[in-house]
Amino acid sequence: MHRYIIKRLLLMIPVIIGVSFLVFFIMDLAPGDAVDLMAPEGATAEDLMAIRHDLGLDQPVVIRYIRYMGGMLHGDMGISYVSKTDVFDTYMQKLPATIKLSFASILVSVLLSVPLGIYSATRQGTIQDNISMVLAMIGLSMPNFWLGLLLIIAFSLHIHLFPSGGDQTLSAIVLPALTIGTGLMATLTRTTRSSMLDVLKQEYLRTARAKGIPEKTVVMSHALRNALIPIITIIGTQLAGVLGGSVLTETVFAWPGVGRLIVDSLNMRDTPLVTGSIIMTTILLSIVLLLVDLLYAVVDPRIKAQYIIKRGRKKRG
Amino acid sequence: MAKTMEQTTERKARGQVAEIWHQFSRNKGAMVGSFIVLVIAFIAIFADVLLDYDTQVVGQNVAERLQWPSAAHWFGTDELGRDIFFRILYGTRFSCSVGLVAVSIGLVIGVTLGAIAGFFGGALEEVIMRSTDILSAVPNMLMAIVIVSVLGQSIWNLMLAVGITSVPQFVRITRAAVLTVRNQEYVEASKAIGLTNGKIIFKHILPNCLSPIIVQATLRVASAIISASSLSFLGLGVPAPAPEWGSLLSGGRKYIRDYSYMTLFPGLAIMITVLALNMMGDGLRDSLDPKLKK
Amino acid sequence: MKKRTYRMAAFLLAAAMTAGTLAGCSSGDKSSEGGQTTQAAGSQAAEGQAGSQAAASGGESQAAAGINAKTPPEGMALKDDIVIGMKSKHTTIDQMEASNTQHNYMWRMVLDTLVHFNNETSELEPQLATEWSTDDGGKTYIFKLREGVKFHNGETLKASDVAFTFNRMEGTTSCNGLFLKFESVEAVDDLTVKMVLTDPNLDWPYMMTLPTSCILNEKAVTDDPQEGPGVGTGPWQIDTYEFGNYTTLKAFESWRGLPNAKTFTFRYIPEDSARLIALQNGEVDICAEPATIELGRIEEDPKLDLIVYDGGSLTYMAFNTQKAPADNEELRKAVAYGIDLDSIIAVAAEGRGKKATSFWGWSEYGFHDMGGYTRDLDKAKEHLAKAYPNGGATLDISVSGAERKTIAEMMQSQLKEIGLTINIVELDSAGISTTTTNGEHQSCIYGMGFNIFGDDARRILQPGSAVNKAHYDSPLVMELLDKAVAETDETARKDYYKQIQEDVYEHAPYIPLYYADGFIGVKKGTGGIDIYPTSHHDYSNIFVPAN
Repeated sequence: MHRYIIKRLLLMIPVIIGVSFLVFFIMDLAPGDAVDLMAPEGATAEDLMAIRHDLGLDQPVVIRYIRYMGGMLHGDMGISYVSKTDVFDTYMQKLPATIKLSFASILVSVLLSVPLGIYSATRQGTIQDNISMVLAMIGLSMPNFWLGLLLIIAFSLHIHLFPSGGDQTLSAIVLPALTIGTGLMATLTRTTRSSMLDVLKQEYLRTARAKGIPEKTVVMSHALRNALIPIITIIGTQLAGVLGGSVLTETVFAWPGVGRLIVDSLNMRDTPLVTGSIIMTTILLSIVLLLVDLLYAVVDPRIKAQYIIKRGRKKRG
Repeated sequence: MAKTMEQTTERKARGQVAEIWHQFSRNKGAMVGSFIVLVIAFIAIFADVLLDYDTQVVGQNVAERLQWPSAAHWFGTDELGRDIFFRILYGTRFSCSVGLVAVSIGLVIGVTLGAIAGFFGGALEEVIMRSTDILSAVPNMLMAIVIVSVLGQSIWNLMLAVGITSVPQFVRITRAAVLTVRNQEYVEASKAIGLTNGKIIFKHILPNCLSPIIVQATLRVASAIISASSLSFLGLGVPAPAPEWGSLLSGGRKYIRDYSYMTLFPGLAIMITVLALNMMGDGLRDSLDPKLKK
Repeated sequence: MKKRTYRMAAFLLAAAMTAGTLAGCSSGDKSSEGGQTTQAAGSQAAEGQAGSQAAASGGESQAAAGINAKTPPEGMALKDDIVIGMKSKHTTIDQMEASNTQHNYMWRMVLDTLVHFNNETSELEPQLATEWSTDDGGKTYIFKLREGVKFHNGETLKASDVAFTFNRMEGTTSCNGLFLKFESVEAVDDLTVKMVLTDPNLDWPYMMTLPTSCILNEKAVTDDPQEGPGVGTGPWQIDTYEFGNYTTLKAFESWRGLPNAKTFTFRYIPEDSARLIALQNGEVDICAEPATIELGRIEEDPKLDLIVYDGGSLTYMAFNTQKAPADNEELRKAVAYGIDLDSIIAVAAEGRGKKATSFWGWSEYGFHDMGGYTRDLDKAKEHLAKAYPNGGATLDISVSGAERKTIAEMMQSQLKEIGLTINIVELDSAGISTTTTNGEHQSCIYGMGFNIFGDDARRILQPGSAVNKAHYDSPLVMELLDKAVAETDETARKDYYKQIQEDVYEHAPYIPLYYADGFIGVKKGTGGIDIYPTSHHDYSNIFVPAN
């Protein structure tokens, strides 16, 4: 198990190299360049050249990439073209807000979806089942900017319960978390429902029922535990997704997270900031996904066994 | 803990189809869903017969701009006085194809890779899963920008952009599902009787992993249409003035406080489509799932 | 509508007056060749006052209703901590790295320029410089500095700070262009700065009023290159900031006096509707750039005021004159006569904009009313037939943003009537900026804010300039621009500018569309905002009622 974790952590290195390479060259391919966008309206070709030279942008992309990676080796993620601030510091400034919002959103999603999914699984095919399905689907079919604004109008403008945005107060997190959480609900509810259905029909549950164990216990302890793997997978991928930032929601709620940082810097073609932010996101994402894989093993001993088998194979090979 | 051993009896092909259809047609939700999907498909295919494109779909009438829904304009009019009902109807063909093609791209690539990763494990799994990590680290917008700059602006490239960004999710879900079944007795049995790996994956493993994949696929259609709307400003998608639900949604953003119907109706259209696909998907899952055939 | 016409006329008058003032400034002493022209600002009393009344009329009709009063009424309790909701974020505290609206707000509060442009009197006034002069027709300028001006770090303003500031501009993002106009800049003594330009430029004192010409403190910048550029002489000093979230300024007792509040915070709220709700909720006191479609909500709200001003920013269409098919003048004219500008303004700008009649800023020196192009389908078809005798004409229009996409969609529908097929190419802001700079587009819809001085038109007409989106290359126009900027005779100078506008009208590399009105939503009773048509307002003296 430990070896597996260490191996996965080491594997982050090629992933980071892959991501940095991909993003750096993609940014070079993309139409538009930072200098053109930063320069004032009256800039002439001479001006642009001077700025390019100042930023080292007159060098070929390969040289710039090698320099960039050289800096990375020393833990230097570069300087933003636009704000001339350190990329790592800039990212870390936005990260806490994103982590807070991510966990709050996942919490909303899990609290709403898992019970709803179980409820509709136990009432498969009934009206209640269909209504839950529609409920879960609402958040998915509404773009976040729309749902977010409706929430602001209702809870901020009309009943003054929460601020309209920002992260100055503690309660400000409620509305954006609801917006993202309900958007994630559909997938999680549906997954919970269908994996519960899979499990509920299995024979060992019939045995349990036959033994006279109350239905509630059957569902909550026997069935749920066995239905957890797909549910955890979804929660894990969703968490990884929201940690990368939720641009639309951050925009509507003026939430100072990494989503807007990345998109704004993308819009300005600020290559060091884009690359650095995405590398940081990748590291976070890899850790979350590793935790999810480890959780599988905790939940399902058969999978734990596989990790051990794998190690055995390695030894033989 | 032990799952029941699945029946691996080979049925004759025709019998199998009939059996699936029998299961499917008994499911009311599935039938309703399929009916709606058929209607939507009909609208999508015959949109240009049902509507006069130049006058009803793109014809501007500034005098009647921003009108709330009425008998004359069921879903109201947009900022250029175009009838939103007609535009949604016509947009069906673009949006449904974006949703379906994009999800199919993600599905085919994602499920194949996920199944390979889950089934074979080892170094292959690591390569696939870590490449997936790389892919999912690249934001959708960046991916879209690249596709636009390399391949140009067209609806096919929009589908490709959205499709590629949904690959990682399919890979992860499929792999997770395969992990739970790959060591079951019937898989071991298949290996023992010398079936090829391909046969084992496609005939014995994937059918038992269908439900999370189907759920994911049907729901992905909605997110595909909505993410198409967030990319339309990059010029991906159908060029103006042709309507597409995503661009109708993003076009309504500016008017959301005073003319909310401009976002409401495209939103509803997406929701109905996704609901219908889901109901159909559930029925499909139930009738395909070998575990449920008792 | 009547009110608007009046306001427009008033502003045009103001522009004319400005011209008068400017001419007065540059040729106050008739012996312009070699004769010394010393201009202590504020001496153009007679002309200036007429201009002031005209210029302020828009503001005055609002001021009469108590909107944006200049000073707080007697005894009004004022809010100590003011918050403004911004559409765009700050990315730097270095004035040489950014010169857009959101940053210029900050520079005008924190930093000072040598010269001040008074929006009410349309006159140049002393700021850090008390007087300035040129004795060789605009090639060499001498600026005398104000005595005893303190920076936020306690340093006293010296001529060496001024020289340091301008020399620091080399290679910077927003000021390199200014730097290139210098041959040299040096401190003659502690309070005298001598600037030598590469070419004579009579607009120079005006350029010294722009936020790009703000003066920094040499010691602050040398000691701390990161935070130092934020140290200025203005009545506000930078306190704390997080880019992409907020910037907080605190009051500073400067030579300009003490502000009417203790802190002033910029909050980044990008979503229009959410920013307006924050204003309605009282979470912010000022809503910058409210969405045009939602203005009614401010007007109806008894707790809010809507400040309206004539914006100086022009939305225009540019044809790529170096590339088929728009290199064909007949095609360009077919478009010019084929579009219906009134309905475009009614829809794209929600009727809150004024038709542009010449490709020039209405508040810019030398504006000449060309009457614009009026829709005439026969004329349009004639031009199109000359360009495409066999039909089949198509043109791509590149756009970015919802408003400009709407304009393009309307043009598409209007030009269909003359048989011209329009393809709309939608791009993101980075994409459109670069493709149009590189000349990959056929035509585009773009916008630009004009400054007050005539030579500002150079950047959109000069070959090689990034904002010459038409890639227009006219030796005649360049010659006229060069003549005008060195011309001390007012009539001749205006005539040069008129000829330029006639040339652009004649060849139609650009079609001017409209100047959009500007708006600010504020808490009722708020005032002290110095409104600039360029939308780079000065909030230094802002006050907000306490309750």
